[in-house]
Amino acid sequence: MDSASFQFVAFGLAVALVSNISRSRGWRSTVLMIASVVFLGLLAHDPILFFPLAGFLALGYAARLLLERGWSKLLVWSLLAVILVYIWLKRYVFLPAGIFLHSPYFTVGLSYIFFRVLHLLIETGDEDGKRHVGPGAYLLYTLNFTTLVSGPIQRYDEFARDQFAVQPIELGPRVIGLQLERIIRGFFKVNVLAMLFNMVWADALAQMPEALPASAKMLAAIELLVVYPLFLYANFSGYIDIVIGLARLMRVRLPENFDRPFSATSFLDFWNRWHITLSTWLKTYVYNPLLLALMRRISSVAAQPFLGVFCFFVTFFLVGVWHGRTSEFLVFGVLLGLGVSVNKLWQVGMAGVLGRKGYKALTKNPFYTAFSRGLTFTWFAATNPLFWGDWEQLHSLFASLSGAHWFLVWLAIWFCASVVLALWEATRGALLSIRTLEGPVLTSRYARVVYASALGLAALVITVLLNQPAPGIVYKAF
Amino acid sequence: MTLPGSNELKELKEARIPRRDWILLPLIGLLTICLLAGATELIATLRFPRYKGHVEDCLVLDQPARGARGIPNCRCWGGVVEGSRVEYKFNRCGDRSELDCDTKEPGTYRIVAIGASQAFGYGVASEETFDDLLPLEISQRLGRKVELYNDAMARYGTSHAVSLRFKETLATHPDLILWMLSTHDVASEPITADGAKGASGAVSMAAVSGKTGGSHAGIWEQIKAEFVGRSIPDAVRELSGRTRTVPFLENLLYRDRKRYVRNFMMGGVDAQLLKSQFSAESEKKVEQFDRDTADIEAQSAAAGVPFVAVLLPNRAQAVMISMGEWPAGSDPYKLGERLRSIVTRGGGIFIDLQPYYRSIPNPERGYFSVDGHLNSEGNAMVARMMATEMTSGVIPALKAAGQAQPAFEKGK
Repeated sequence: MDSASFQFVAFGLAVALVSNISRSRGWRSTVLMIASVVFLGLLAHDPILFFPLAGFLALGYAARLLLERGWSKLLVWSLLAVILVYIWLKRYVFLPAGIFLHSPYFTVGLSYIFFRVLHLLIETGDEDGKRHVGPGAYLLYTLNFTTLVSGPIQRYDEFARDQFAVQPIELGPRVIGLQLERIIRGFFKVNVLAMLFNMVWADALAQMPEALPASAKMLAAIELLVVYPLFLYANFSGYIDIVIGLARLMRVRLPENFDRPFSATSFLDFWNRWHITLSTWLKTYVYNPLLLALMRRISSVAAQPFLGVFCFFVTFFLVGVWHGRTSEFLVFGVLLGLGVSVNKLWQVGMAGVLGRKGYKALTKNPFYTAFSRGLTFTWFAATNPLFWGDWEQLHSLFASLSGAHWFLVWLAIWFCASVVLALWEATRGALLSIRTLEGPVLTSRYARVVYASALGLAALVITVLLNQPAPGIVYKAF
Repeated sequence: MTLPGSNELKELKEARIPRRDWILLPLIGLLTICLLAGATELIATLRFPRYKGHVEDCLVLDQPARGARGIPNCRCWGGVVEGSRVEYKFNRCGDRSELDCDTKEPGTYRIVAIGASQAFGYGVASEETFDDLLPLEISQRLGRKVELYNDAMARYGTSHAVSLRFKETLATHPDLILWMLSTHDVASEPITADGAKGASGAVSMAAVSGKTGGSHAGIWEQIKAEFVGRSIPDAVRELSGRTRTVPFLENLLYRDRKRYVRNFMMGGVDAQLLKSQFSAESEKKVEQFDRDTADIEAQSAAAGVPFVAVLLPNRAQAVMISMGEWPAGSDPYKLGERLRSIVTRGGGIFIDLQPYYRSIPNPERGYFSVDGHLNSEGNAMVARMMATEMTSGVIPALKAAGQAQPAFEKGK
């Protein structure tokens, strides 16, 4: 049930159906609460396993109550307490093993609950943001089964706006059709596309230690690096498509988490399109306050762009670190931080050299755009081995080719990604330009029915007839 | 192709869809599904063509008391889904062998192979089977003529069926009996007198051979026959298994060795025998195997013919051993250990090929990925391993000078 399985989709659709028996917020909230509890029960059967999670939620709620009652000075301490307990429960490897709980306990979704709890505390600590959140609403928000496993990270005000609305948002046949199509698309992405990408990736990984000619190994290395981001995208965005569709059928709009990330023409742009809710959260609660604080201390106008560079580094270093508990993720964070900060430096530098208008004109140049897009993809692809491998695997992987060969691999990916993604963008633009009075033909309801039927059939054949188990959602581990 | 959520507001405003779309949209969906399914089946059929004929055309299957047997001098064609068309030629005794069953050349050492489809060389041309390759390998190593008479029977050669045929096996003048075993031989049910599979066997012989449903039966009767006695998903799987689409997709998916192992271990009677703890049903099957083996070994000993049994790992076993890892609750070696104790207890020799697979990086290449039988590469591989083992001194009559210790004596 913690994957994009047929059972999970069936469960979500059943809950949506029951939820729509009445439009009253009491009924919808009760159904969501019962569904979330049942969902947790299906993930782990022993109630004892939930004690640490319950303690974490209780800590967050108690801190929130204190802040609500005017103990604003406790904000920093309560944030620190929540962060430390989170790190302790997640068993970060830099902490001594002796202090951890040794009995097994439930941690699925803890990272996403963590962000929701921190968000509530910060918003409560903010003088303008005080509003009472009862224990029922708090549990509903933090344990909502549609966002529990892998997000998206929704703000409380957005959740409350839809969930507790006296007049819930409309749900007509057109919206239902769109959501069903989205659920099928997501199911296909996770169960077919991601599975196929994973196969190619596993094949390429198996080839790396083999005694093959350097050209064959370089080809395998290209496959290995290129396919993993595609796998990750299909796996994560597919799951998000499913939960957004299910939540919408329950009259709740979840925030988008992806916006065609491989169309991004810079690494900064990439993070506006990939795991949007995570990067937005960190920009809101880390980047902005840090930049403001630094600008208050350093008044030099000339230094201001570089403060932004530094803040971007810190923010995206944290994005990387959040993904895992081991030292590999520290380096992953450094590489992400470097990606965005060098990107920002480049923007600042080029604007200085060419002037703002000149730089803007450059970014409109199709060749510049294509190679920037390719470079963005390549950098992300190159950081990914730290995402899936441990030091031993990484050492054996990188030792399998010489430095010069890896450089050639990197160049080849950059060039191919630039060409392929440019072609993809051009094709997409051309296809979407075929229009009727109602809009592009490809996004018409007739076209949607065609590809939803096709994708649904393919997914059904793979999952039911071939008895393929649903692959795990990579981001549930974080 | 869509901007997520971008059209939601627009869609919210357009509350109604035209009435005609309530009919048109489902029809478009249905048409898409039919076209896609048809096109995929067409492509799959081009990739894996259907062959006329079947090995069953040369088999007598309606005499369970005697076991399945070949029709003398019969020639038929068949093959596995992802293989090429293969000719099966039976000699005058109804065995897939070029050799004569009643006579053998003086001075020739004759090995008689018994077993089921793997030993029979199912799906592989006769000259590519280890039945043909093994005697060549051994003859080369020994410098004397060794021949192999293939007395195995495709599909229906469970241990019980082998024991039913064993008197005729002994009549083929063997100097050595070689039982080529696979997991499936232990797992599959013996064929009973009513022509159906044993205790749990709701599957009829006709269903096994893919000939369910008489030509005079109506479509409804055929559908009923498919669904009686099994769950709807099982029936759907069984029906879809007769398409070319499913094997086509399986062939694609099972290139991923870990996925194959995981799927294999999720179901099927063969998978039960690769568990670290045997179920009661598996134990029953091993006990049946034990009884049949005791009977065969007793007859063999009475005839003064040495008896050798070999376990050919199936594709999942081979992959697990090669990778050195397997899903929790599995053990690719356990069945081999049980069979070794059963065979050696009765005075036979047991050869375990499994340790060889530890040093083979991609042993799955030796198997048809969907069907699971050994392909020609796998047959050649097994012939080499077998020749090494058999000439290592385990069988005194076949001992070659200066051979290394066999793998099975080196332990796991």
